[in-house]
Amino acid sequence: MPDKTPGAGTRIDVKNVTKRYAKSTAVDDVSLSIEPGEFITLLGPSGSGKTTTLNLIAGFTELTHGSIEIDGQRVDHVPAHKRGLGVVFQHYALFPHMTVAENIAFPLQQRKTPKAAQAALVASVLQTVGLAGYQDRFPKELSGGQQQRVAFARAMVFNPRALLMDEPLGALDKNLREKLQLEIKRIHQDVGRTFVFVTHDQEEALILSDRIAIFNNGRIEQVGTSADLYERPASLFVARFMGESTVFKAQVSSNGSDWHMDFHGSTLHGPVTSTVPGKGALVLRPEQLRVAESRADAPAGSAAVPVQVIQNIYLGSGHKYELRLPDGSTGIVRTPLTERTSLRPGDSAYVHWPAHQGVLLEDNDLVSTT
Amino acid sequence: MSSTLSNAVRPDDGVDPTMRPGRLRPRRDAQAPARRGRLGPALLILPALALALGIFAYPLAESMWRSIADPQPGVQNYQWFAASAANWAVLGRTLWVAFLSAVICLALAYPYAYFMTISGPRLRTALIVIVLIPFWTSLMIRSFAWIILLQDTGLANQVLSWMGLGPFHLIRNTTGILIGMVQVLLPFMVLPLYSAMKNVDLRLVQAAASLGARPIVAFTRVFVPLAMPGVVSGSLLVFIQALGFYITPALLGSPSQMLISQYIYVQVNGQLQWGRGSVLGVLLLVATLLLLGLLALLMRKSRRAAGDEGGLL
Ligand SMILES: Nc1ncnc2c1ncn2[C@@H]1O[C@H](COP(=O)(O)OP(=O)(O)OP(=O)(O)O)[C@@H](O)[C@H]1O
Ligand SMILES: [Mg+2]
Repeated sequence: MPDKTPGAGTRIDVKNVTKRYAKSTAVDDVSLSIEPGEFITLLGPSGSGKTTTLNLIAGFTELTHGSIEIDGQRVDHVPAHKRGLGVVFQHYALFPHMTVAENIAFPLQQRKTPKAAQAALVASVLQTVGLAGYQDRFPKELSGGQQQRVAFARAMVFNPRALLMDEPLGALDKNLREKLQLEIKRIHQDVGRTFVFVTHDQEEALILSDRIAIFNNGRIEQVGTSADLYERPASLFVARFMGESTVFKAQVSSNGSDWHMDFHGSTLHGPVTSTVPGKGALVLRPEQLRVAESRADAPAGSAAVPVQVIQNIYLGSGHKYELRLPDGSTGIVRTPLTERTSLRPGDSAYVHWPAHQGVLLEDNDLVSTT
Repeated sequence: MSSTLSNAVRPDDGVDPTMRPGRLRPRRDAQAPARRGRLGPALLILPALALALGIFAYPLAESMWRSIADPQPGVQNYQWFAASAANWAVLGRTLWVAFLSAVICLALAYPYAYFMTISGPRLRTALIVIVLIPFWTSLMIRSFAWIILLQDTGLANQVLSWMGLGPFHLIRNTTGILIGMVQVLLPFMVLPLYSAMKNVDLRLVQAAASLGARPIVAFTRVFVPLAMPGVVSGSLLVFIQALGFYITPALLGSPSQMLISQYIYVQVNGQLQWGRGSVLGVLLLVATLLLLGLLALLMRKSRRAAGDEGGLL
């Protein structure tokens, strides 16, 4: 069984790694330091290079440039079977001609574990994943969720230095997925190993991870905790990928301490905290915004932009507004029940917020909505 | 966690898309609509069925009958077979040559088919065409070509003598028969092997590596067993066809080392002993069926792993 000392995990350093195929660059100069015992998730849309990155770490794919280190040792030329990493695949990759017990014993046989010890380990790991009594079934005789557990057990049983998982829950229905998410999190806490998890499901990433690396087009846009990514997105892509947001786009000018933008007649401004982009995008989360029926109802000194109400939805816990901004884009506001308005679809209103709030990012959209 | 919990979230009538075919079968009434439309397709198999019965079942029954009824009723034809060691030798030699053909074909075809699975589409097409070339020329012409190539003064022996070897007797013996048969039968080994191998999920081999298996171990413990259905069906195809070969052994073999089809011809055509010819045919069939039964017994375990979807056996 895996070493139970918390933090006994392995450190993995991906350094400036590039993977090129004949017609595309799947991973483009990616660097990522994974801390011992950390649960890190690679999150991004389809085709963004998550699987390729995981395969490079696992040793299934040769990298074009860069290096990968496990516990400080370069492994980019070490073949997969010598890296000592456990891998769980989206398609489970159980050996169909072996029983559950034979599948799980396979990595132990490769390590010449004595027969008796093998049997004990198999029984114990089956217990852990809740499949005691299933050892003589063939994979075809199991449900998807059960197969997934066997795959997990097989990747864990030999106490790997780290566990890599590529969308392991992708093929399961929602209920089962949520249940297994909690189990994976529990096992991670129990064994204290390094877990690298791939998903394109943002909610799954939030539930599981200590940190999340956001992939886009073969690059990492940002690495951070869920709060970092939500509150301090480093790019417009991250802001949009992690939760809902309202984006105000305009040219930005700066006087050194403050930046200003003229958004369709409304002046927006804030303190300069980093490089000020030429074309700016001010990002605000739904909870940071409020809606007022007139400019006068917004607190003095707050930023305000005239909008048209598309929808005003009562959610029980509060209200959610969908608003049409002057540039035609959609804004989203969530307010607590205490701030009820009588706004109806089609009404004119103002969206407002304390002027210093929001994150100013570079507007790098290819097609501007203005 | 318990397995019952995970079952609880699943509807019980098999609509769960994550469910692989296997243990759980749809409820019976779900099949009812399909059953009604079954008569039409059944009628469509009639021509093939009639043909099979006409050209296979009838002659088979006729042979069996003649083996005990020609020239007069009784088991004298079987007694004739059992009494002569030479008869047993022919049967044994036929099985042995067929077995050797299958083994040699397998040894040649396995790496070939494997290479096909890992090569790109254009190279693969070329490899298929190469293996099918024998089909485009007549068996007779090919056998005569082999005679010219393999005779004591033929090209094969010339090449061998340049290398300081030989001359070897390559025809009028079992070697000649095997060379001729293997060439003809190779496609019947390559194609089933290739189709089995291309269905092997190579990601499983990758998974084996991630679990610590050296490449050779991953190959032998994962790839080889999964490609086994191709080995079985290819070997059966080759073996069974080799049992009935006539032209190749007649042209490339030796009259003193006849195979059973030649021997049947001698009995029926040369000596008009229809009964004895029939006995030879029947015994060949029985021997073959016994071997297949043995194989089916050995294949039991893999059938369960395949979810009872069954292979050739
Ligand atoms: N073997 C390959 N040959 C050529 N291109 C490839 C290969 N594997 C991946 N790619 C390309 O590299 C890019 C990244 O692929 P990758 O599988 O890493 O994406 P992903 O983030 O895992 O996507 P998904 O969420 O759909 O699984 C894609 O554009 C893909 O087409
Ligand atoms: Mg992927």
